[in-house]
Amino acid sequence: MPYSVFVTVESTQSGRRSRRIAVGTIGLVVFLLAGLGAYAVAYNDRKQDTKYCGHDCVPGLKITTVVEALKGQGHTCADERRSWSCELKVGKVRFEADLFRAGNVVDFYDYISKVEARIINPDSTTAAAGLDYMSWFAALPHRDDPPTVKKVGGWLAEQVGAGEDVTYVLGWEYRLRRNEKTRSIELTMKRRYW
Amino acid sequence: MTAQPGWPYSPDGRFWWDGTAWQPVQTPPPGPPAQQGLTMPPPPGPATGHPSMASPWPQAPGPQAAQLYAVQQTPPYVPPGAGAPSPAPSGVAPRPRRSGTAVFVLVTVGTLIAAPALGGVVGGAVGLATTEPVTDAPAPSFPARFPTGKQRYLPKVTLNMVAVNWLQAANSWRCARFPAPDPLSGAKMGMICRPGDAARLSMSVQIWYDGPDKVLSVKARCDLGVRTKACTNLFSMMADSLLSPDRTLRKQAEAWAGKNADKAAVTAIGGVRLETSPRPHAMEAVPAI
Repeated sequence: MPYSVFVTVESTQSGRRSRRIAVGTIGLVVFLLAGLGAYAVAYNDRKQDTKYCGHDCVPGLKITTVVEALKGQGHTCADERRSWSCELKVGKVRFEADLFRAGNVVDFYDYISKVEARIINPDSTTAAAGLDYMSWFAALPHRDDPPTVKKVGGWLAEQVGAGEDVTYVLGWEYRLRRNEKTRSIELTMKRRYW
Repeated sequence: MTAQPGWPYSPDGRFWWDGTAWQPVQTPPPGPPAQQGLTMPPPPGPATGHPSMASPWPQAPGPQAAQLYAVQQTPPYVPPGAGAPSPAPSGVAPRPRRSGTAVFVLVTVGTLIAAPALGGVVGGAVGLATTEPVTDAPAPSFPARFPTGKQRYLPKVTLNMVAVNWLQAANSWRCARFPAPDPLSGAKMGMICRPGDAARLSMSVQIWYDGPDKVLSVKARCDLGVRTKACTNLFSMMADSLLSPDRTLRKQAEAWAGKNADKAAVTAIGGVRLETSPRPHAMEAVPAI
């Protein structure tokens, strides 16, 4: 009898122990899963905050980064406080770009809210360079999305030789205008919410 | 000893507590002994269930009260023969099986609620604290035909090629530098060359440049009149000189300039944009883009 009692008590105690271990294991697994899930959500949220930067500017791309890139291509840039102006003269053709700061959003003051890219005195020999020039600026908000970049580039290629036109791509308004008086063609790109 | 209904049983149901010691059960209990103490309602009376009671004996004669009271006062079950004294001095009653199951369920449910909540808080905090937002991504690469500063200069054209080899050496022209930069082209330096003879007032070649091998534009002007041979020759020689590094292109350029010297025309040959105009009678060479 003592042996059977001992076995019974032992089996009861080991059952409790295994229950505790099971509960502990389940708790640990659930803790880790919830932790990983929350980490992923927080990570994406953090990225998304930057990606859309208040829905008011070109995501994650500082205005000075763009300016430095243009300077590296030989363009001359000047800080106009509310915007940066960059230009390049090649012969009679002038390439001008005004990069406007996101001034109404404090945290994103160093980011671009609007771009005005102009080509003055374009002619038949500048079509290719002019298209690449404007396409580069137009692709800035969607630089990580090749299909959208292609879509914007296709619209530009169609409209460069045509008159005024406007289109909307993923929250951005693109307007292309041709001015006969100043012999210029201008692309304006800015955020739109409708 | 015969088992008494209402007295606590050991967890395995093989012993019952008689108030002083665990006794083996000789007749099987009618049901799971551990359930009896929990299923009964509390007995009436002021002493029922009070934790301060020291006596293990029930105050009320009823079996239900005695049962519940005994459950609370019975020492922990130690099987007889295990060497330990039967009545434990601590006074802690053995927990019935159902109570253990309830605790297990409670602990499990609590764990399932607390673990994800805690994990979520910790994971979220770690995610926010360790994830550095990409606030300054590199600028996208430039397309192949994006206009660059190198395109500001006439390809393969040098100041020496125009001013010295063509104008000064071959035609005895005299050249003078401009002290100020050109606001229109942005060139840092300028030079104007004129013939050494009487035609110096009617013909000129202007050169804008940033350095000896960085020539931005060359412009020839001839006021001797449209369709004059001297003006046509000047424009043809200028085109020939600017495209001199390429034999094929220099002939093509020379021919084009001779043909279009007296009208408004424009072309691009070898990266050089040539444009003629009758009024003023001139031909200008700038980089083609």
